[in-house]
Amino acid sequence: MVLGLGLCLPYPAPAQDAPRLTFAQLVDSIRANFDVTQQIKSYAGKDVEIQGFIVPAGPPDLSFFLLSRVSALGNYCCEVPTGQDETVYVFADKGLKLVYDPLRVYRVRGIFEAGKHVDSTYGVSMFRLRGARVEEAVGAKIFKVGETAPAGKP
Amino acid sequence: MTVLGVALRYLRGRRVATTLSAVSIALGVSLVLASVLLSRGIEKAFVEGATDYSLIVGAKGSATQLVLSVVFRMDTATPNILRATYDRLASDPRVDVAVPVALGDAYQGFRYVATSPAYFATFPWRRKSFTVTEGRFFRPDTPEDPGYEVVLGAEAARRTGLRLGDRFSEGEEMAEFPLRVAGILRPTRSADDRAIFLSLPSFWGMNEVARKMQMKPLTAVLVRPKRMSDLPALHRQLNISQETQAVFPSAVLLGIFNLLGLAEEILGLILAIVAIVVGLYLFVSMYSATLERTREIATMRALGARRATILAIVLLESCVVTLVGGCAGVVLGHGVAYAGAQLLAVRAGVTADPFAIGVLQPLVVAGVVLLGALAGLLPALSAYRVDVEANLAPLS
Repeated sequence: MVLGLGLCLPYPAPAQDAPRLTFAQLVDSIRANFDVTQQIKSYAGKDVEIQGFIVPAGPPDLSFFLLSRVSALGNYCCEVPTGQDETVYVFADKGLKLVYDPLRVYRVRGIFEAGKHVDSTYGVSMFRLRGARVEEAVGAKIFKVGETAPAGKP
Repeated sequence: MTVLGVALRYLRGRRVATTLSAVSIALGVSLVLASVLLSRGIEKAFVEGATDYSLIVGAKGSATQLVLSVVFRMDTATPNILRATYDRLASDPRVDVAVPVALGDAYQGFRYVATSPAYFATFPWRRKSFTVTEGRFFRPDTPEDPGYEVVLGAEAARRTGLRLGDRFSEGEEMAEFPLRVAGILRPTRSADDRAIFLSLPSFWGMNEVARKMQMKPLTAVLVRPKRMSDLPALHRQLNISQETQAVFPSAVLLGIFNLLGLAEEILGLILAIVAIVVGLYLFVSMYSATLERTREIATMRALGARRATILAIVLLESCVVTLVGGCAGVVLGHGVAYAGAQLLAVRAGVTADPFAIGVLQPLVVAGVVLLGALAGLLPALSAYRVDVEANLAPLS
């Protein structure tokens, strides 16, 4: 079920050059033994954009946090977070200044890394963004497979 | 005499007005600086004092209360959870380190924090390290044979005056279980400096209720997972249970920072009004001074002073007043911030640095001098346009 769920956006992204990856693409790219597809590896080292919820699992200056498909608020009333395939480890060179809201979707851009990596501080990860910049993704909404955007919205 | 010399002489000539202008500027600047220093200091203190553990597990209730009491010892402790919660977490394959914490009463206002030796352990992911300046950590003990030894945080040792080997207790009820100082910690610049650490068996032995309980109580468990990506699932699992809540400490702190940011924005509006009032006061002072000395200006012009020189004198007067007021305000602002920081340290245990020097101070002084130049511009232009012939005519 989890593999079938993805973060889709009802509105077109602003005209920027960074390609956007969704959690659905990340989940679909995972292969056995911590491997990922060549297609997702082709984004490695490039500036990409991923949208999701911020889980402040690191220090409060947000120099590290998890970007998740599911919000970290309360009891995850609607969906179950499952593990590393649905989280991206985000590193910001300096701490970030933003108004944190666990219910908001944020647009995070940074240099993308894919594949197994072991960090002495934060452990094993599959997907990472480094040198992250964050802004609120106004109008973004999580869609499940089978749902479509409202009429008139692409 | 130089242009600056003339400007200074004019300022000395109206000493009271000059002093009042400089004092009002100094007060305005000190208000701006102290507010910013304290606000930033509080945020920095929270960031530096934050725990390296990713999750705090405690009883159902307020997440803010749980984090403030367990990490910063700033609130009353949340209700107890059972030790079984810790046992489950400690044996969970996703968990790297689980540390039990029980908050007790206090000795002279310094809180008893019962924990296991893991609390002081060093890990690759841990920024903070604990070492003793004197003595040693408390010895591992058992509920059957509690050691009643404590390790004092640096501030707790300094303020209570307790020394190595001292035995102490607070209140008659606790006199039966005197605690002995086994060690004193090096300062950590966190709430741990104000804690009195003891072992869990000693804590349970001192507590009449806990003594009779089969399943011993705890206040919270600090959790660090092996993989950060396991946190959301762990967080959810602990939150859907009826007994416990799991909190990301950084999420609570970011909520507090949001409130601080809001307060800063409102304060910014108030400070903008203060700047306008100070600017207007300076303008009125400079303008009336210019009107009072039109004859002097006309005389200077008649003696060969150029219009630009007259303009420069009035502008310099305004800038000198604001420069003096601004510098005095910076000193006063640090003084007010220091007093505020002391109050915060005593009342809330937050250690804000009131002497943080950065671009803020020169920026504030430059801004004030610019404000002075703006406030002095119209009076200076008025002096620039003084009609020599009309103002040198006999008065009667």
